[in-house]
Amino acid sequence: MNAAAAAGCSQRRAVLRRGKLTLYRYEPIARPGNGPPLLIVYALVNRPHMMDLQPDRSLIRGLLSQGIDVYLIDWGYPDGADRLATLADYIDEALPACVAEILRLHGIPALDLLGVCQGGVFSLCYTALHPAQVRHLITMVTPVDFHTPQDLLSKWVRKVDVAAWVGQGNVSGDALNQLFLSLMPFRLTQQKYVHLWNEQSRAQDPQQLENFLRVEQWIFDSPDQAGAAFREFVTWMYQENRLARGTLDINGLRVDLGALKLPILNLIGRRDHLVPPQSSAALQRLVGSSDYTALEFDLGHIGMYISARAQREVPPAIAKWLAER
Amino acid sequence: MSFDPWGSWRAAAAQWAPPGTPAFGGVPGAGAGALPPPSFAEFARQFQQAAQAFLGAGGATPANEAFTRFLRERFAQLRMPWSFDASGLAGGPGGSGATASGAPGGSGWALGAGREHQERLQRLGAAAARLAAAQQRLELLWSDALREAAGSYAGQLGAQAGQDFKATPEALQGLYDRWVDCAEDAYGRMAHSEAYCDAFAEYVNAGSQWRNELQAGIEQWARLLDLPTRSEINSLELRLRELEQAARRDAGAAAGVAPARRTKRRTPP
Repeated sequence: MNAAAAAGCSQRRAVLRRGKLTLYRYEPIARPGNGPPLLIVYALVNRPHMMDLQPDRSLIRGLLSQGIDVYLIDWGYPDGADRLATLADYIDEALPACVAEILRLHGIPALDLLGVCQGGVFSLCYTALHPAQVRHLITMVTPVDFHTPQDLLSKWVRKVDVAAWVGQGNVSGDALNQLFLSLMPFRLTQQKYVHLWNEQSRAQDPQQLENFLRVEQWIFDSPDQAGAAFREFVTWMYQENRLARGTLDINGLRVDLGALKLPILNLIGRRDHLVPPQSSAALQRLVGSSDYTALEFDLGHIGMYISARAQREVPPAIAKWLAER
Repeated sequence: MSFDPWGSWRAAAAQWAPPGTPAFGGVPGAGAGALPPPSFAEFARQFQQAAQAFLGAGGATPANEAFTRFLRERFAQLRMPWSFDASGLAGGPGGSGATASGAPGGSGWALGAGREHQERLQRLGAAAARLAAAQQRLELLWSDALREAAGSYAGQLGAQAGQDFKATPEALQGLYDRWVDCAEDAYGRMAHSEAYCDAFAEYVNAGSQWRNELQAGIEQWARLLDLPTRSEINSLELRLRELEQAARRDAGAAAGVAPARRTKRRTPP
């Protein structure tokens, strides 16, 4: 494995740098379509190259092969200097700057937005605050209602003193990893390694081993979280469920999902243990759009990015939905 | 935990007063504490005797050794008013039972020139004890879940008793996978329970408290050594953010650019 594997497999170039953030534009690999560019907004937790892991496991390549002009925000690795960065800094400063740059480069008034997981929350908030700049909104494995009965993370943090937990610094990516692993500890810390050992013992397959290690590298390549933004996200979403309750303000402005009238595609993982499907599906009752589509895939959270089924089904579904509009 | 300085003082004074002696006033007599420390008057008498013997002997080596031994023994036994075991006291520091008598800074009422630092150490000790208790609570729940998983697994295997079993790699992996299924099922039920959620939150909160107390202590040393502290850096960063925002506003105003277009009204307070 080489270092390049950590950055994804598709060719891209940086079009904007702002602090730790880099906005990338991917080189086309197919004849471009007629639609506006698609900006992918990934989560702050984990690195975005999971969407471009390897040539046969790349949602981004799938979108590129459909003729879609793809941009991606890489939030970078926050350090101590970023610990005062708030959600407003991400949603209402950094994200608008990226959108503005794309609109300027293309000379267009609006683009398509694809938000993944926490990035989907950011995308929903941004679109609610700046609806004129988004033509189509796609959310993938995005939590909306954080208080569904199946949401174990939400239950665990409900009584946590988040301010004390964050303290005066950032939140360690390692600590979050431990939290995520403890959602299914036996499967995630033991069983998958036992299976790997058995499979490699039966048929030594260097490629399979490399694929496994590439995913492992991504899983444990977790950036620290800017303290203030993390505190706000956990408190406002996981504890107070402000997005679903319609009480979320960003920079003093109310995020009203009911005011979202644009076409929305909501991609849901039926076996997602991190973002329960009910949490994502709640978007339907909250938005005001008459053009709302939900597609469920029999996949888990990570499977939505890297499984063979995801490669076959997700990019064509997105392209088809966009083409129909 | 409420702090009752008068109640703590009276409880401390009671340790130095003989039974029946009013807690306040009167001559301190035999102590009534957990350890049998000599009363202050008795200590003073013994000190006086030992000192006179030492001085009378002109500081000769045997007297010196005797006096040294006396001082070591007596001070080892002497319980200062601020170092009594207050774990059973209601309303006093450590009255919650969270402080171990052996915690840094002791567990009693902080007093004197080192009061502030002693209180800090007491808080650190209390936080450590809280964290240990929280961890134990979690471990008990884990243990319960594993016991349930083991029972479920044994039941499933028992249903197959008597059947032919060939220990192939696939069969063994099947057995292992079945154990993982049982374990995850039991763990999942436990993890969703209110008891576990409470215990988890308590563990995180206790850990945060412990870390924050430790950080406060380290900052104290950093200040003494004239090193930058987190608090100072945070203050500087807040000032820097304010300057950046002001600069952006000024730059925008100078360029004649309107503030970022908003399509929504601000939320009324």
